Amino acid sequence: MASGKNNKYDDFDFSDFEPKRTSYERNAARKIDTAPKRRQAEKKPDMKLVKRPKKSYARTREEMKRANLHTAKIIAISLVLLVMMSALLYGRMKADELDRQIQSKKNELSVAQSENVRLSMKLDSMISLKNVEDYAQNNLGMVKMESHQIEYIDLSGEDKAVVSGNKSKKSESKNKASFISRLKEYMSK
Amino acid sequence: MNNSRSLKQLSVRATVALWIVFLLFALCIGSLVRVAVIDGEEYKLKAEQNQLLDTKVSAGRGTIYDANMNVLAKSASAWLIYIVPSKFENDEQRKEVVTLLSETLGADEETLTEKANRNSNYVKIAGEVEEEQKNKIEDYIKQETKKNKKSKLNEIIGIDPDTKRYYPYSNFASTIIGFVNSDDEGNAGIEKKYNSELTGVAGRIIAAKNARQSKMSSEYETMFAAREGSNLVLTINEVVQYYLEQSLNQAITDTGAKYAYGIVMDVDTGAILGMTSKPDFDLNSPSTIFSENVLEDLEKIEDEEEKKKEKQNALFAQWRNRTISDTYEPGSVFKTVVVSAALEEGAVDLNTKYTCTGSIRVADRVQKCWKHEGHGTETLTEGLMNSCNPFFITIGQKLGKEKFYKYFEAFGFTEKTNIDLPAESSPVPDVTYHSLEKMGISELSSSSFGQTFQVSPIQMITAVSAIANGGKLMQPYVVDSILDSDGNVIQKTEPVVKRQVISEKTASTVAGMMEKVVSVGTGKNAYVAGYHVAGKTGTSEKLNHKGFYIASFAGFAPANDPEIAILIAIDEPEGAHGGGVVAAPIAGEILEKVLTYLNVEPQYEDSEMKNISSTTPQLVGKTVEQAKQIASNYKVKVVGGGKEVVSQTPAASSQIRTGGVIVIYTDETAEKQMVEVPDFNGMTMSQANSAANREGLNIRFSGTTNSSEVNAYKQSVEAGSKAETGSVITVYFKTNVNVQDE
Repeated sequence: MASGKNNKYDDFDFSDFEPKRTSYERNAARKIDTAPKRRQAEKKPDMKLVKRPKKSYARTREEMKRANLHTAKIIAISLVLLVMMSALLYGRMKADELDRQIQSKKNELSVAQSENVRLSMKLDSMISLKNVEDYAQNNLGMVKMESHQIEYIDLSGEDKAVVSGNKSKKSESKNKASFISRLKEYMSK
Repeated sequence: MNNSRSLKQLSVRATVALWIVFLLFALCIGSLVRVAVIDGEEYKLKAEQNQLLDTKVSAGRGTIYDANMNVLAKSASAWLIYIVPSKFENDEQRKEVVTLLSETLGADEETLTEKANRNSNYVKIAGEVEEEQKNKIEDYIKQETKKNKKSKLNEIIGIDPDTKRYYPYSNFASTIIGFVNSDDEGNAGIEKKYNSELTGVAGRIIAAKNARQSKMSSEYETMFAAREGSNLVLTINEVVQYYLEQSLNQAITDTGAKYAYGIVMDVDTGAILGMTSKPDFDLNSPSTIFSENVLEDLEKIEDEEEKKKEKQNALFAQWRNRTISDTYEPGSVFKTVVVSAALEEGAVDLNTKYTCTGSIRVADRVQKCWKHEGHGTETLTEGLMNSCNPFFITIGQKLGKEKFYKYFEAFGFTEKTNIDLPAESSPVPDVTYHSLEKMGISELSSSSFGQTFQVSPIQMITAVSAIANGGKLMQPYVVDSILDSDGNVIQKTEPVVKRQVISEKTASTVAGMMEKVVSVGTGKNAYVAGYHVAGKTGTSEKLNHKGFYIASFAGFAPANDPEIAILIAIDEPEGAHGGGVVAAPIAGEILEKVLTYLNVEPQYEDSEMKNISSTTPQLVGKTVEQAKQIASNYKVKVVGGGKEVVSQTPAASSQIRTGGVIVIYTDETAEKQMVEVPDFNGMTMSQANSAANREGLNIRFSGTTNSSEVNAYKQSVEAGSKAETGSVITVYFKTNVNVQDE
């Protein structure tokens, strides 16, 4: 059929357009051309024509369906892999970002702590005993407490309990009475 | 034939190829052995450096607290500014950077220009730069880079992390605390002595590096946390230290002395409550000389090399803690040690009498008493009260040199006290004191009244404390405890009793004698009403500086139950130089303030009560008539036209002398009456009282008030300033009569 279609070119000699062989190629070609020919002439293999079984429409369809499913599976797996890879990359990106944030917050904390120390020290120096005394005496007109202005309370002595009011004697006698009555009860048992 | 030839050829080729492969393999193995075994460590290190980022995490330096947990020294992170002068493109840029750094850091422009002109890749400009200053520099660099993208300012100015040590109270306890150098290492005082405890252990962060040599995420890093430095709690009490420093600063101003130093010690434990050596320095700027006299002297030196050397010497002198590093002749203060030894050995007793004729012959020399006409016959206590030199020469000779040396050694004068501070002076036999072998009669005699040998102030106060605490020689210390960074106590200093030097009985006897010295002897200017102060004055001429003296006082209080010991030394005072005149009043002032602060209850004698103020009554809310009736023991001054008292000065429950002035205001709008405070200096007690009352002021007597020959030398409110009528002015008195002790 092909020859039929291109018969208008049959009159041309295409060999003129082929690259010309060098002498060694021509020799080699001769060797190649002759040797197999001799072997082919010596031994011809037995060729058998195998008939291809005819496929039903349903089977063809089934096969096509299977092929489509397989393609879909590959696409799905690829997609899953892509998503997983993206998730992994995103996770890494996020971790890096959080890492940077942690670092930044740590730096901020360090700066804030240093600032806190600096300000505390400044405050301490402002309220040193010398400054407080100067301000109290010169600005507020305060006078330092003298030793004789302090009243000392003597808390030394033995531990003792004081029962309030006049109940002490009554409660004492009451306790004694209840003890005797309990003793009587115990003896009578 | 052809086949065998080709086979042979093939075999040869294969053998050659095999040999080549073998040689190459051998070469590879050899190379592998070299890389893995021979130079293994080097390549391992290179690989680690290439793959790992090792960052040092510096440990924060510990904090120093006083006994009340007030912060005395604390560290915080800061910044270090440096420049790379080799990267300056032109002089204009150099000038720009110098101006920026000079304005931001307050550095000297001339010095900065010199640094900027150096041909170097790194020149430090300033350390301990605070966040605010660092931000200013960073902002400027950003702005300039934004304006001109070719600007290389960010490559010229560099910023590195640094730490800064803050000392909030500047020169407060500076000679004890010390300071750190630019490497954050202690250079003096506690900072030096406890450097290893304060420093802690640096940590490390080992992180993986990527191909671009930058740090990978934190999951690839291993952190070895830094162990923060320990915190120190000192025995130094901020209030006691403040009183001590305040009085000694005043002493330098009043006496024109070169130096003044003092120690306050807990007699039972040896804990130092206060210690100072004036003049001192600002801990935040230790390399600045503060003494104007020294600065003037330095300015006079023309040779630059010599000037530099002298400045360094001046700095060392400024940092010196003279209470432990200097030695001085104790003078008569040492007589307390001699009398303790003599009583302990039974060489004398309280009834021992001696007649002082004004001099005594020792070997071929005549030793004179400071009182040339002599003290006459005196008992042992009187001998100490009068600080009679011939009496003590006799006691020393009675004791003998062996026993004298035994107690000299026992009281700790031949060894360091081992206080936990650096640079304690070390006694050297036959240099700072007379060894037993070379002690002759002259040496024994002069040593008996505290001359011809030297001790350090810390040795002297430790010995006096031993008399106060019943004879136990304590080891002094300034660090009470060491805390970890969480505040847990990891080490607590326990008081160390070195030895029992004298018996409790002897110690008690000597304490009683020393109390007499203060109540009626040469130490009467250290007298404090209500507190039984015991002590001894001392005056000594400097061994190698004739005509210059050290006036001192060492004592303790209360004498019947001692709590604190005190030593005050005034080095080279101008004018009066006696310990009784110069040092004793300062000791008295400090003792009064400290004992009141420590809540030691005063116990007044009947004779003292007359000078004690009475309590003002509550007059507010009363009618004028009622008020006058209630305050009949006082002079009542009425201000305003109202009928009822709306306020009063002094307020109710104030302490003023009976007969003092109370101003009552009957009108809320009435202006406060102000008067000029008179100059009480030199007045007797009655003169001062009259002068105060004349002006409508109240007076409170302080200092030596148990003697009739006393004069005012100081007042709480400056003369000439304005004070509200009725307010209380404290006037301090001292005497110059019978307080000499040379």
